[in-house]
Amino acid sequence: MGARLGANEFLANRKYIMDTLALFGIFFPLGYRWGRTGRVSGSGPAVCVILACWTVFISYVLINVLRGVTVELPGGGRICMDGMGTLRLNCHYNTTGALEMLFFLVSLALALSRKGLLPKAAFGLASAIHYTALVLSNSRTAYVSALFGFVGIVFVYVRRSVCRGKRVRRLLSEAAVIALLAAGFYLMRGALYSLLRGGSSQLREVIDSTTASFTGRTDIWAGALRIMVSDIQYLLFGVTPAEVRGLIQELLGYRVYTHNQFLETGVALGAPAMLALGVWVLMILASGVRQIKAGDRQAYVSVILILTLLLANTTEATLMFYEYATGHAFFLLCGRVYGKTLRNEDLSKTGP
Amino acid sequence: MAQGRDAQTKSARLKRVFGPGTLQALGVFAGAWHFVMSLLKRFTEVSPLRYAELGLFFILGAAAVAWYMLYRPKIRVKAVPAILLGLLGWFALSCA
Repeated sequence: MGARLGANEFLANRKYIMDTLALFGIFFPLGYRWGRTGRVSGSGPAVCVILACWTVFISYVLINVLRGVTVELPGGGRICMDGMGTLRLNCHYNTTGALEMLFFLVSLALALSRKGLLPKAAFGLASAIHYTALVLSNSRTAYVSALFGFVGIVFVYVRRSVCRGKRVRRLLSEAAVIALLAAGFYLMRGALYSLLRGGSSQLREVIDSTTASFTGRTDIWAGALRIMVSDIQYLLFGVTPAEVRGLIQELLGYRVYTHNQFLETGVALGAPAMLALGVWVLMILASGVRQIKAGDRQAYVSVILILTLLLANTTEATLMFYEYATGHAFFLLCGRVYGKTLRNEDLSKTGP
Repeated sequence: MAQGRDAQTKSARLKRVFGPGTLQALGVFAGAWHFVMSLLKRFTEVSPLRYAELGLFFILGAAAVAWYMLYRPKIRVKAVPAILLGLLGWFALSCA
């Protein structure tokens, strides 16, 4: 329906189809099983192995790029600091930031939730390494999202011990804790950057040089909307993910994706799919909020991570189609929230 | 009688092989594979491994069908998975 190439669109979209199948058919059901039963056999070691391997790789990258050495990859790719002093893992710096934001928050949540000094120290070290890579990526969207996730996750662990007393006093102390955490996290970026790169003025230059990208994004968003409404077929069925960049290039002169997950879905699959995805996300969030109201701390962390990923994807499109780790985590967490909802429903019917 | 008992034993053996644990373990393996591939493909050309991934998906699909045939769970139609299936169908319609 959305075909433009004249070729087989299933073949043209094979990698997007595979990613969607993995997200809907593997990660969401695994998350569902996790939420429904409380555990999924084999998932704990799998998460630890992936996290450990990626942390070792990022440590190797950081040791090299901070010494000015370029990391050569088997496929011919290179990892180094680019001309703007930005770390790129052979991809766009915002993608690098989104990946490292996810690994930072997951290792932070694991460090806070695990018992025992050794796991806490290991996950804490991993979160510090991924935080360093996040700072060096210079991605503002990823950093703001990480700030939101950091404050949300740490707040739930410190709230009980710090915020006490009557209602007004408790609310004031909670607000003070949130403000302190946010300010500390914000200031830490400049401090770490000047420590590693020798002067925060360079960070200011980098931030100033990328400020124009927001203006660029509004142009891309407007262009994406224009594509959607230009043809009733596009509006209903989209142009398929494989065609999005080509159409934007025709319109704006440069090849780029829409930089917003909902718009990307709208242009790729049409307005009904965009609407369905929005409703679906709202339903998951509503379930999560109900679980938080019932005093579930794990659901709180899941919802904070889901909101963090959504926030990061207001100016990115890394949840669907492009095989990003952020999309895998998003659907796993959504499945978990949904599984827990059904588990609670079952418990309320049969009793604990 | 003996035939019925044989069939029961066969079914029990099949259920041991295609239990929910097997499907879950395959799911974890396929998920971890896809995740690692998504990280690796940013750095290297790994197309043979991508085809292996496709094969893994087929195995997982076959295991899911076998699991359904053996257990025939009572399916409750719920909005959340229904919307996901609808989106997948819409994707296919969009490519058609």
